[in-house]
Amino acid sequence: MIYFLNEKNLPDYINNLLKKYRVYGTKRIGNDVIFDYLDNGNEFYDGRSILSPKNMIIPSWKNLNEHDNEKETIIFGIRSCDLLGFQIMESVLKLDIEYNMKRSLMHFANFICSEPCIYGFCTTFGGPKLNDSGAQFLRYRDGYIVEIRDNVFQSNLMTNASEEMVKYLEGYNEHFSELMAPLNTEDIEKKMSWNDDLWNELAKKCISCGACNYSCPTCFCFDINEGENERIMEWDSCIMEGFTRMAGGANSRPDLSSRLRQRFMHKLSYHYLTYGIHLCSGCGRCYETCPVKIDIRDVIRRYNP
Amino acid sequence: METDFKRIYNFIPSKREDINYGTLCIKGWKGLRYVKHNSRLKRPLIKDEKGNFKEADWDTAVYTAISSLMEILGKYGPDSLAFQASAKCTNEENYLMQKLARQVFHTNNVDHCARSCHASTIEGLITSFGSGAMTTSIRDIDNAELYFVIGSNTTEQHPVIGSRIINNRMKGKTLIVADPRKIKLAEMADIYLRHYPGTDLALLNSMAYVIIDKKLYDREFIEKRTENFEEFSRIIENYDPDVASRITGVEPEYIERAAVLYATKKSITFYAMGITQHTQGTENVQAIANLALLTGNVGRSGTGVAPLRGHNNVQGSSDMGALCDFLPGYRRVYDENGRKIFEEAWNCELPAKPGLSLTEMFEYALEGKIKAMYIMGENPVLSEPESEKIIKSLENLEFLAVQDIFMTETAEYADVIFPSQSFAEKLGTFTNTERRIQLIKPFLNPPGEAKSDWEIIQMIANSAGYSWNYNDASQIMDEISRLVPQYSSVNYKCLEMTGGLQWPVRECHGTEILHAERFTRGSGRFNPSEWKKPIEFWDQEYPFILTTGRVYYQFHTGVMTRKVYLLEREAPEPYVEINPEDAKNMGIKNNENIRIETRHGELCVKARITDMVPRGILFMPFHYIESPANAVTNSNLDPRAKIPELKVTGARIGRCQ
Amino acid sequence: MNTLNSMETVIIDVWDETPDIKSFLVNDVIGVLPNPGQFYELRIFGRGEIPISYGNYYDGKLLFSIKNVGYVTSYFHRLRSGDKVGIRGPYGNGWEIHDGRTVLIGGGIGLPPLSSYIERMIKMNRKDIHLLYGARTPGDIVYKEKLKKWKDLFRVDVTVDRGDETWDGNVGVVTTIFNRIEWKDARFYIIGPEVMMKFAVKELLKMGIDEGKIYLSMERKMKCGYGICGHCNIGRFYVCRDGPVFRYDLIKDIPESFH
Repeated sequence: MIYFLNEKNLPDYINNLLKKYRVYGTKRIGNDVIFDYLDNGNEFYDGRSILSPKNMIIPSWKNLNEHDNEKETIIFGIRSCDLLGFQIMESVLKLDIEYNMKRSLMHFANFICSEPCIYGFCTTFGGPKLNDSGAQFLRYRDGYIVEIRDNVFQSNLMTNASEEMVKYLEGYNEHFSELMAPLNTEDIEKKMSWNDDLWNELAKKCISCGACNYSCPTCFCFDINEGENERIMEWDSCIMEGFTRMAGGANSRPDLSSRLRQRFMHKLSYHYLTYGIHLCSGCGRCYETCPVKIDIRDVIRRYNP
Repeated sequence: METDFKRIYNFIPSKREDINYGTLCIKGWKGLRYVKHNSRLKRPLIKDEKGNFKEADWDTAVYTAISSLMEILGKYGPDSLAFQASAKCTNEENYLMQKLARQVFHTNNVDHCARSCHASTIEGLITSFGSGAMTTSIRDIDNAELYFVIGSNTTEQHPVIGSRIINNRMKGKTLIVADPRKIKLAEMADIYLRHYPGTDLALLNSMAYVIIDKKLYDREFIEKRTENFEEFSRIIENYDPDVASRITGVEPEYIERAAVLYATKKSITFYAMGITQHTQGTENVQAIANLALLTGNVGRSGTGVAPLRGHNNVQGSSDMGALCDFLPGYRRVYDENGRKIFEEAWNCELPAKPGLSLTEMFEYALEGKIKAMYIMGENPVLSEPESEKIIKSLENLEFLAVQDIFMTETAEYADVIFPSQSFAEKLGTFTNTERRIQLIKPFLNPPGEAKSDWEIIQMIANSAGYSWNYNDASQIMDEISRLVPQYSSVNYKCLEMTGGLQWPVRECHGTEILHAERFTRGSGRFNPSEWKKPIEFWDQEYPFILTTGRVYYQFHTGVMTRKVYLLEREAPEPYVEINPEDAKNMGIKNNENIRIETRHGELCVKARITDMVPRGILFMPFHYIESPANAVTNSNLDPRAKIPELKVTGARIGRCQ
Repeated sequence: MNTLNSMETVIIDVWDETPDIKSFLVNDVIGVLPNPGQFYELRIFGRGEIPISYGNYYDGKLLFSIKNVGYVTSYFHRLRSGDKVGIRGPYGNGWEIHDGRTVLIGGGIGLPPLSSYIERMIKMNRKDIHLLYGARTPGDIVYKEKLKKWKDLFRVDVTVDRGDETWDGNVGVVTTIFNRIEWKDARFYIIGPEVMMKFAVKELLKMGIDEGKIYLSMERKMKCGYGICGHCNIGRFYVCRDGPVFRYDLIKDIPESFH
């Protein structure tokens, strides 16, 4: 169903959600937008967060010996690219018992960007309006057009959407593609080459900070390490030398160029060959947070100019 | 940072354009987890007769410390005590630490690890420009046309700055790298000068020679803004590139090309420990300043001299006078006028004799002249040269107090240990490498009974009979802003509003570029000096030069980073780098354990064969307690800055059992 | 068992196989019959986890043989019977039970995963297997008792890289006894250090063996064991989930499959 929510009702709408659920939403601190648990609806800020809220399913750092009481949670204000990231990661993570439990307690309300960002290319992967989301909010005049699939988002603060609004929402991706031209990913999974000199070129610049992994809404790799009284699960990075190093020192990806190749080919080729989707949602954060500005769009364009 | 005061959810790079423009290095992403490590100290510890640590309450611990300190003060006099501040602590805490030493215990024996990293920068740049700090800002790096990196592995040690250099190089700007090791930046440099360790001064002097010889210097700038040019050009005459080439091992043609490029473009020079940790460290820094003065590459946007500081607050703790020869604001202790300001403010008499530097403190302790030491947030057992000597001198003390967030290798020798708070739990300010004073706010609850360092120091001072009365860190900053001209008018409100200010601060406005109109000391001074051979160099007995450094994944002595699994995984063990040809000649295999022998000690460590190092040179990171590089390095001091020559130690290779 | 939480079990017995390999017999608390060649994640609480293929499954007990190569394994070597360890699994595909002749080629610590296959074959009264096993020295041979027993049931050839006075068998790497392979139409199951597998495959291809008949058991850093942590990804495969056994022609083009 498609509704309309006036902007001035948004805080109350969130307050109503807060009565029943935890709400993990976007907040503004200084000039930075981050995700945090909201205490009231006024804290919400409609903006693109620096990092995706993927730590809700893969904690950036967690002691597995300490058990949380999982609660039903609403992720509110997630951008389409990040939500797409959740959906992509699900292809892998659905094998995990804990993931499925956590995921079943989560509801998503995503906000569709009203303007294209300078780093992103979500139109390439079917964004920004998604086909499958609990609730989708699209900025429209003095409020939001809201498409609801998940009943927890129903509210009497909303009115039915007009025909014009429905049309606007349905045509939105087409409209957005004009502002943000999609990249051509056709057959890229077959075109990418293991022996490309590109990987050496990128390795010259890369300083192995891991930002591309940590900021990526589809990077799911994690590591587990144990010490006294703690068993830590944390985000890992395939750019690091120790990622594949085994006990005894053998390493299948000892040089930086092979590790960069792994990252880009996993994103654009390997995952597609197995699951039929690219492991990339087009958010552009890897470029945004990269200190030396390695651009995944350039990698795509290299194979499909 | 996302937290709820109990745990950390996530680290997020702020998008601030002026410093890190939304990027972090691996230590930023991962390295700060140590604050939640379960081995954090939670209660004060007192060593009993059997040498075991027992938990104690704060009153007992403070009483134990102060009664021992007072007893030693009464028995042996003020100069039998030594204090160590820390570049990891806030400005406020460092200020109080030196105040504790000077006001309460009447001694200038207060110092911190800036002594072993950037003491020569302070001495060198103050005598040349008048301010011992980066002359420009991080943001301004983008405005330069040429980057001259000498003695700094920027991409590994200062990745955010290093990546700015990479980005600009990719845009087509010029990069000159001078380093014995073929570092990442060297591979993308326009000119790579691979000089021998300890010959930086000859190289820099020779570049000046070329600039003068080819008349590429900025005559107007020299006439209007500098002094002592004549003497400078007289001494420089001895360094034509052919001579310098014999000293440094760099082709004359390369020196010439580098000098011409440097002189004809807007250039920033970056340097770090490769320049400062030498017996001629001060002279090296001055030589860099000379080049900048000669070509007018200072005081304008896109130019400057940039010493890269290693710790979050080396700049600040030096500003705060946590140095044996400087009072806060870089007033020399023997300067009567400077002393008077503080004598009035603190209502006491201050000693005029410079105190003992960090390295000297341990020597004096070994000789029994220093009886008690008070160490805040430092781990000299690993960070200082000749660690065996350090351990002996710590054992030699009658009393040692340590305040730290972890049980360190140094704390093992303490009589009293105070648990302190990490940056995540307290309020205060840090001053970063570009002189930017930034406010930090607590976002976690401290573990157990840990207190912030300034609270602990205040407790000590007050139990010694003083009535310090700071309710929070901001009141300390108010006192600092009254007494330290660079920090005048700094207060928390305006720091919070602006998100950080570069000193000198005037009415809530920072200064991005120093020395723009005039130099802090009036005119810029050429300070020429002759190159001297390092005290230890290649010789028959010790055919290698051992040089030390850091790796990307670890920080300093690893107290913090070695507790982070992923960082430890990346760089889990010490190694020594050796050139493939040397390895072949000596029959050394990769990953084989070899023995490094120097005049100061010996140790066994894994060999890593790589052409990163040239022939005749060994490189070893110093983070590791298993094979502490500083067990074998030499402690010859720069006579002025008292900085040890960690970068050049004669060495030979033996077999391990 | 697609979870990171392991179950607690007890070590029933420990013995030395070689100077750096120990065998551990533990109670199977999971109760799932594993396929030959599958692996478990064994854990020492407070130290860490390691992926280890089981060597034998008998009477509700699992046999693991562990070589001391790193941090966690060194702690395993300090364990005694009665100590508790964590276990989860079984993971991976394991060796497919092949209906025809099978040649098994193992090197060093690669014998235990083959042993699980052999024991299954014995249970099925099958004799159409041929084992070629290579170790560094006679002292590095594992499962000496089992090898003796197997010799009576089917063809077993053992070689060592370096002999000594006690050794009267073949000396040379395992490929030097490939001339004893009589079944060119068989399936080949290979496991061992990567260099050994690399040369073994090369040699088999030279002998005219079809690529599709060669199966390799790969070793990677398998942290989770069921394909979500990403460490063991090579090409489009996750070694822990799609492997560890791969048909050679599927992975031969991936540059990281051998290093």
